[in-house]
Amino acid sequence: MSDFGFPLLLSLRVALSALLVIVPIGLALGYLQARRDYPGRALVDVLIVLPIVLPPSVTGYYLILFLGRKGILGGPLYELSGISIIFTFWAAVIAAVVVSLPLFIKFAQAAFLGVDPDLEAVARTLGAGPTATFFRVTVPVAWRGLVAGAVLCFARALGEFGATLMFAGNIPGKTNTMTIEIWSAYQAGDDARAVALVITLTAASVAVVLAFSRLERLQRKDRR
Amino acid sequence: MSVEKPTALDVDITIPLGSGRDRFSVRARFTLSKGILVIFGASATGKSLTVRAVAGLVPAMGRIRVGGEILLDAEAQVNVAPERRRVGYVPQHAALFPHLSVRDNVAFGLRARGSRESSGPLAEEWLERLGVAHLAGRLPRRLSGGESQRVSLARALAPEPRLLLLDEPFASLDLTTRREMRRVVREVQKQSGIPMVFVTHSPREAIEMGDHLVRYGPGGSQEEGRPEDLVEKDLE
Repeated sequence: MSDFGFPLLLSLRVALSALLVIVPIGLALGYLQARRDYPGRALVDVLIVLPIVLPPSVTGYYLILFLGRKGILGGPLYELSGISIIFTFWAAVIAAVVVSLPLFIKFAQAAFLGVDPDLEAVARTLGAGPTATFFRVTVPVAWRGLVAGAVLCFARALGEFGATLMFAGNIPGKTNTMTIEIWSAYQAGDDARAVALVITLTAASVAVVLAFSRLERLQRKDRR
Repeated sequence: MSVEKPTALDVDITIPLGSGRDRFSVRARFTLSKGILVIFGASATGKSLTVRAVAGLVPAMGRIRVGGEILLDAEAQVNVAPERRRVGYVPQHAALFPHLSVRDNVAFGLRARGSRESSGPLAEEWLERLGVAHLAGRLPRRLSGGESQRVSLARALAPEPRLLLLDEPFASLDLTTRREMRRVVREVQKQSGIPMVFVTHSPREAIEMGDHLVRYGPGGSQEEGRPEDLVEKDLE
């Protein structure tokens, strides 16, 4: 059994980086969808959910279409700066962000909907502006739901395969994440390596599910 | 020319509601010179909406003046944000911040207005005045309904608002607690001199609490006068 430290570390780095991008965007969009009514709100809701339903290979193809070296945005970027995203670490991060962001937004939206709007109203009358109210009342009250969303989102990013393979490729020492390494090991007939990788990821997933159900229990206790 | 003392509260607003075909509006006009103004009426006549508009929590057109200062003048495009109105608000369900202790709930407004060091002792002082100092360290979910409303009242009063809005604050309390709370509010009002707007649908509460009364009727009608005169017929 050969060493799989690199893919494990890479997967964790990709998932953590993705989470850092996802949390601020998800908090903002989740709050917007939970509290504000604006024209086009329903369309935004559809766009948010879409990546959950789209086959990852389709999402991956869209990413190539937009951000590939000849893509709609990636083309001009490459010509102007020589920077190419596809087949890099950042490509893996972007793929992970796109597939797991919707999960976090949905959880954040539900968590914010669970916050009594009167709490925010009272905070405003007590002298807290909209930003202070958000960070001192809304987020702390929605806290457990937000953490549960982040945990699931991290797990989804860790397990991302299809879009990553399409957009970041399978470059050993660069973009071979855990899930892609399992596929490679299986293809190469290295069953021992595949099994070791599978067990590691299974253990990680079980840990996530346990953490998640514990958070849910605590949240229910909070509401009582 | 005599210099008149500014009225405590001067409201002349229209609150637009709904959209498209379901568009309608609530019109509210009243003044309060001092003491407690009761807004009395059946549910869904726009009582809550009126106090929320005075607090700046829902958009309204027209004019609102508190103690001579203009909080809203739609024509002059003046619309002071809720956090700068210094108008306290006690909703029906105390709405205590569940993640903060009773003490920190009361200190919230003091901290938001920048008095960080004195906020702790001042909060305790208000809890003392409302007879719930012994609850300072507790979390809100461990309080009874009456205790919660006392804390909510202390929290709204601590930053010394120019006006206090109470939106059916005792509607979910039992009769004994309710009677007790009315006495507490009247007492605090007398001691502090803070003008108050008190929303209720109970005629008894309206008479007991109000120095002045606005009666919200069906179809947007409004009468203003002495509580005894306007709700007498509602008491069997």
